[in-house]
Amino acid sequence: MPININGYNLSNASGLTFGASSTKIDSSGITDPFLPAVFGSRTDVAAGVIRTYPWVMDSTTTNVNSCWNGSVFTCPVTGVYYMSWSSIVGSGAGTYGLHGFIGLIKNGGLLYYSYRDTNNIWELQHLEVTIKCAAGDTITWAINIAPAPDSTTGAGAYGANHNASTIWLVG
Amino acid sequence: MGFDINGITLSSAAGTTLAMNSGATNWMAVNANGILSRPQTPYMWGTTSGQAAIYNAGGGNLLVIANENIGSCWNNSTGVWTCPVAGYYMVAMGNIATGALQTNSYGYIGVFKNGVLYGHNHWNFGGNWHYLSLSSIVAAAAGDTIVWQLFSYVNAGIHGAGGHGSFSIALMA
Repeated sequence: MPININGYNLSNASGLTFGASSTKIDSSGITDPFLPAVFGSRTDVAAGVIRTYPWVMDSTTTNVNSCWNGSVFTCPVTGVYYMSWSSIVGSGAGTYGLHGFIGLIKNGGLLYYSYRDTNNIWELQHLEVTIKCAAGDTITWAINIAPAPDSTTGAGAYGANHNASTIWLVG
Repeated sequence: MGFDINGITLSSAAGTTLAMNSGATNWMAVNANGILSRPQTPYMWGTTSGQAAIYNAGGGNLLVIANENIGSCWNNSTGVWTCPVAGYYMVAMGNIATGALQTNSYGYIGVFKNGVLYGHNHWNFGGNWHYLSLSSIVAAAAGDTIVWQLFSYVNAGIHGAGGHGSFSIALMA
């Protein structure tokens, strides 16, 4: 028999279920099929170097709750979110001194950044962090251009695959 | 009207969401879409700052300065995370590393649980800064400790003066 809390039912249907949602707690743990999450990559630039803000991720294989609108993730609830951005980064020419910055941008402002400092043609960069966000906060990335630091060199990310990004709610 | 279980209150203001509170503190919520959130999730995020440009802590714990520290599990002075409950913790770091313009520069970054190496990564390159990252899911008991350390390094460290990296730990489940 469910517990009715102001019209909201807690019930046992092969596990503790919450209202009309499919969220459940049972012997396997918590099942949260509407966990906010996105995973995808940028595929829309045929080749070359991208210095860009916001980061476009046109191809998503996961976009639960449609939090990702193509270039920005909007947090639907307050919580701690894991964020990972990775891509080969460089100039495509191997020219020394084409350093550059990759910034994590929260609500339009720089939160933290990484730095490419090599003369390799392309080299993997991977930013990952868990960040506390409020409902409505926005997340994206900036590649060697404001609001990230801008080295004013030609370094940037590769825009035709060779990259992957993900964001999901931890708790 | 809530459902009180010896001081823990289950309530639903509009009949579409559920909140589990202890007094004024929200422990858990399930919104109308079924998204479950846990605002008290033990969590830290921080960076190194004010350290040497090439920072290795002499092989000791990396003294990350927390920007956020929910549950006060992270100790800035010792560089130690103490797990408040048993569970699986996401431990993630990324930072540029090298021996800046050294021709021979390499080292290891490790996650240690209770002083024992749990997982590690390795970098080996000369000159300039390169990006180093390491993520782990650490199974831990209440009271277990987690730290980051560099080891077996030569002419190397992470960029410790500020920016260029981040460190975070969060309880997943």
